Amino acid sequence: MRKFLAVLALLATSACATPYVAIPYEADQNPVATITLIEDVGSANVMAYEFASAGGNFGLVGAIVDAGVQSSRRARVEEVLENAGFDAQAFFRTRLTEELEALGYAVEIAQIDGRNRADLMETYPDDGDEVQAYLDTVLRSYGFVSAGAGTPFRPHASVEAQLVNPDTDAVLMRNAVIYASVGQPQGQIVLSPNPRHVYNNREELLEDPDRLVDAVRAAISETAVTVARLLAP
Amino acid sequence: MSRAIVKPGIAVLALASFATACATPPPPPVAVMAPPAGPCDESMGIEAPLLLEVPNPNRASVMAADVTAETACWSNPETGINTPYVIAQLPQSESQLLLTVIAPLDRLRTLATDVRTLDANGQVVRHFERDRFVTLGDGYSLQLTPRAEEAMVAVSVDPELVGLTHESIEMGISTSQVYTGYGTATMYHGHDLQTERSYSFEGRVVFRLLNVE
Repeated sequence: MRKFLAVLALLATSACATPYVAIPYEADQNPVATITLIEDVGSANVMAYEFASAGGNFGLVGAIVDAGVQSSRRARVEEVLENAGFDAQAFFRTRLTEELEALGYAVEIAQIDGRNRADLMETYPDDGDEVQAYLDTVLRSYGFVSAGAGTPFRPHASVEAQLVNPDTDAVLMRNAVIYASVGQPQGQIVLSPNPRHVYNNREELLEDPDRLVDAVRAAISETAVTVARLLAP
Repeated sequence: MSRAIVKPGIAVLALASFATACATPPPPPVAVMAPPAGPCDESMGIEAPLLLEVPNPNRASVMAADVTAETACWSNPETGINTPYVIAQLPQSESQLLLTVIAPLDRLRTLATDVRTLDANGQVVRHFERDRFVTLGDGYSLQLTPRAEEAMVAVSVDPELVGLTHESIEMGISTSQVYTGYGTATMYHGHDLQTERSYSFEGRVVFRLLNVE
């Protein structure tokens, strides 16, 4: 319920709020050869959320029932992913590394503490000349979303990323990427979901575990590819 | 006498209101696949650009222009194809600015934007490749940080993009008011729409300049 209200508040204010402040990467101004990817990409749990749900429209009792339905659905999706041994954060990191290497970057992985659950880090260690640029990424959410009652579930992933020069603390790139966004967030990159991955209800969502895992993989992979392309030299 | 005048007046007003309420909205504009017939200029004219204003810190200034057959046109020597174009002047500012050039997603079409930055003499400083464009929540967009030597931004049409279609699934929430017997309540409804648009020679372009403090 609290999440639902927060989302509605976000949608209501998005029309007049300051747009997301992205920073495009200017490769010719700040050439980088080696990217140090921060290993910790956050610890978001899987979601399987129906936004404008039927229960949510019917007061407190409806909201309580809705919370139970949403929680049960999320738990089942989480169970499917766990049974498949799927680690969303590790998969995102791997895909991002592959795409960066394909663009010609050397990629190193750094273990740095201090991450809040879903936020970019505020400070980065100054490692002298050892680190040319940190790539800080947060997998903010992943799983499935439905816009509301009667609309299908679609795979979803949301990532925020920034590239930082630790010597100067200059942010060389910052952007947010959302695969299957409910709403049109100003200034954030929106990726349309693959129409092949569509689930009309909970039963369809859960009936084929392999298909479910593939759909989540596709969403996370597309966001990783998009983040890497923002750094195209 | 006065009643005789007033009554037809009321009747006309009532009819006008009725006609307005029942009027069918015009169909959404379709993609334009043909370049301007011309004749077109051999170089872009920089004499009367749109003027973008420096917004307050952490705020954005927005300006929009419709690119149509009436817009100034340029015969692009690289492609040999005429293209309409719009030029906006970048303000001089000590602040860090983020410019987003947006082709909003109309119902059926999106302007096939091609973006260059120009110096004060109208010479091209940067010409952005298609892979720099992304779909933001606002539309087909390019984000750039203006450089000191860049005085203007020119938006024309990428003819290779015109005619290509792009499909998308748009998800969102809308609201409606319903009467419950005790008063009105707001109901939330989800929508999930599959759309298809074509890139077009005509459409709208929006310049959003953000002052990043």
